[in-house]
Amino acid sequence: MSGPAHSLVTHGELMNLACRHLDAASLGLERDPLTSRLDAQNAMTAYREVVHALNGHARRVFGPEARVRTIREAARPYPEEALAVRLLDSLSRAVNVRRPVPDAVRETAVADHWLDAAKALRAATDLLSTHRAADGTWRTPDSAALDSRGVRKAGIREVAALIATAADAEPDLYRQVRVAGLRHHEVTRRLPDMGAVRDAALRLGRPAAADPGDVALLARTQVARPAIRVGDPVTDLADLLATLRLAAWQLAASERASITSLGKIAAIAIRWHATLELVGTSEPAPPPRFADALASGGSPGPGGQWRVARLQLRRLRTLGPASPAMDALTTTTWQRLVSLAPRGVHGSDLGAGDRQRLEAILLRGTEVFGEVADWNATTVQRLSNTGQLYVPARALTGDEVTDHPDLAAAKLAGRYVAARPEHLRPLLVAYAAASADVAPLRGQHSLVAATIARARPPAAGL
Amino acid sequence: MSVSWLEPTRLLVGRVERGIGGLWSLLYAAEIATLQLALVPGLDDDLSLTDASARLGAAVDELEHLHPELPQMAVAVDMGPAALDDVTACRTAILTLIKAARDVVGEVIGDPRLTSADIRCIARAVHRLTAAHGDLTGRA
Repeated sequence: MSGPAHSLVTHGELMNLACRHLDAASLGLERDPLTSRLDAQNAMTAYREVVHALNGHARRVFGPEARVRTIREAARPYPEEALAVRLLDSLSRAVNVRRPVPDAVRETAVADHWLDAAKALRAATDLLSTHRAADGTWRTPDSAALDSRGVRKAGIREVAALIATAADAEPDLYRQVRVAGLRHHEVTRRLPDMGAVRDAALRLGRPAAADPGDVALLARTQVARPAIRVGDPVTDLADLLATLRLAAWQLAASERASITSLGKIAAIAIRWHATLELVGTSEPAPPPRFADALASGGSPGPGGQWRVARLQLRRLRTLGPASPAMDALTTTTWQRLVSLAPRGVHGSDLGAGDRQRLEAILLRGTEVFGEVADWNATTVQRLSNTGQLYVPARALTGDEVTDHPDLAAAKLAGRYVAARPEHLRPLLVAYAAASADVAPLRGQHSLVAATIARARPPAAGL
Repeated sequence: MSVSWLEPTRLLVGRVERGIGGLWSLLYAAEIATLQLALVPGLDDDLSLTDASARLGAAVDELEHLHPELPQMAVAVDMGPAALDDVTACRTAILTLIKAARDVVGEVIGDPRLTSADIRCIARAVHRLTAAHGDLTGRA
C-alpha cells in the first residue's frame, strides 16, 4: 500500500534547514565575493531579513513581552535569563535599521541562502505560535510543556547558536559591500550592527546545559492543528489520533462539554485497544491483553477500563448538545480503525512496512489514551463541580435510591438529578486505572516516537 | 450477583410503550446489555460486542439528540452484570431486545405525528439494528 502521504514538518527540521542555509550563506560569502552594487544591496536585504527572522524566533521561543519585562526589572534574575534578555535587547537594536529595498530581482546565492534561512525561521516561529491563542492562553496539550523554563532555555540556546553564526558573517558582509562600491553611510544605515548581538549569543549559545529531553520535545513539535492527510490510511490514523488528543484536551479546558463526546471518545479507546490486540505487535511491552489479564485475575488493562468507563458514561447526561465536530472525528476514526483492522481478520493484510507503522501508531495511541483518560476525568470533575452533570433518575438502581427518599421520588417522577460523587466514583476509578495502566509505557515515549519516525514514509521536502 | 437477563427482557418487551420512547428504552437496554456482556473475559475477542454496542449507542444518541426528554421520561433498564454461567441467555436477551426494537419501528413509522427528522433518524436506527444483529450473530 502506498499513498501520497508526506511527513509533517517539525520545529527541529525547520531549525536544521535554517542552520544549513546560514552555513551555506557564510561559505558562499567566502567563496563568491559580491562584485556589484546590486549584489551588495541584495545581500544586505537578505541579511537584514534573516536577522529580523532570528529576532522574531528568539522572542517567540522566550515567551511574551511581559516575561521579558519582568526579567529585565527583576533585582536578581536567573543569570541565563538575564543573558537571554540581553540578547533580545541587542537584537532589537540591531534589527532596527531601515529595511533595504532591493533594486532589482537578480539575487546571489548568498542572498538566496539568507532568504531561505529567514523563511525557515519564520515557519518555525509560526509553528510555535499555533500552540498559543491570540490572548496568550494555551490552546494545545503541548503548550504547557513548550512554555516550561527548560524548553524555553533549550529554544533560546538553539536560536542563539544560529544568531552567532549570522553575526559572524556581518564583518565579512560589511567588508564585501564596501568593496563592491557602497559607501560607509549607505551600509551603516541598512546593515544591522551585530557586535553586541554576537557577544550575547556566544555567551548563551554554548549547547552543553540544555536538558536533552527539552531539546527533543521542542524539536519534535509540530503545528498545533495538523491537517488530516488523506490518501495513506496509516498516516491518516496518526493524524486522527493527534486531532483526537487535542480535542480531548480542549474538552478538559473548556467551560462546557457534552458527556456524549466523552462517551464517543471511550468507544474509540475501546476499539483502539482492541485493534492493537487484533493486529498484534512486535514492539516491547504492549499493554496487557484484556481477556488474558481478566482471566488471570489482574487488571483488565486499559482497553477493559475504557469499557467500564463507557458503561458508566451512559448513565450520565449533560444538557448541552453533543459536538458535531467530535461526532465527525470519532466516526471517521472508527471507520479508519475498522478499515485497517477488519473484524474477524486476525493480524493484518498490510505490507510489512505499513504494518510496522500501524503498530507504532497504535502503541503511541495507548499512551495518548492514558493522557486522554486523565483529561476526561478532569472534564467529568469540572462538569460535576459546576452542576452540569445529571443522572436520569429512572436509570438509578433500587440499591442506589433505597436510602435516599429524594432520589426515589425523582425515579418515580422520571426526573433528572444532579450527579453525586457516588455516581461518578466507578467512572473516575476506571479513568484513573486506564491512565495508570499505560503509565509504564509513557517511559517508552521516545522509543515509540522513534519507531514512528523510523516508520514514516519518506518526506516530500518542504 | 448477576441474574438471568431473560426475565427482565421479557417484561420490558411485553410492557414497553409502542412509540419513540419505547424504541429508546429497547435500544438503551440493548446497548447497556451489550456493554455489560463485553466486560466478560474472552467474549469480545472478535470485537462483535464492541461494534454492536457502538451501533446501538449511535442510535440511542441520535434519538436523544432529537428528543432530549427521552432519558428523563422513558423507561431505562440496566440488567446488571452478565451471568458468567449463562452467556447464551445473555446473547438471546440482547437479540430479543433488538428484534423488539425493530418491531416497534414497524409500528411507529406510520405515526402521522412524526417529523421528517424523526423518520430519517428511525430509518438510520433500522440500519444500525440490522448491523448490530449481524455483529452478534455473525451474519453480516
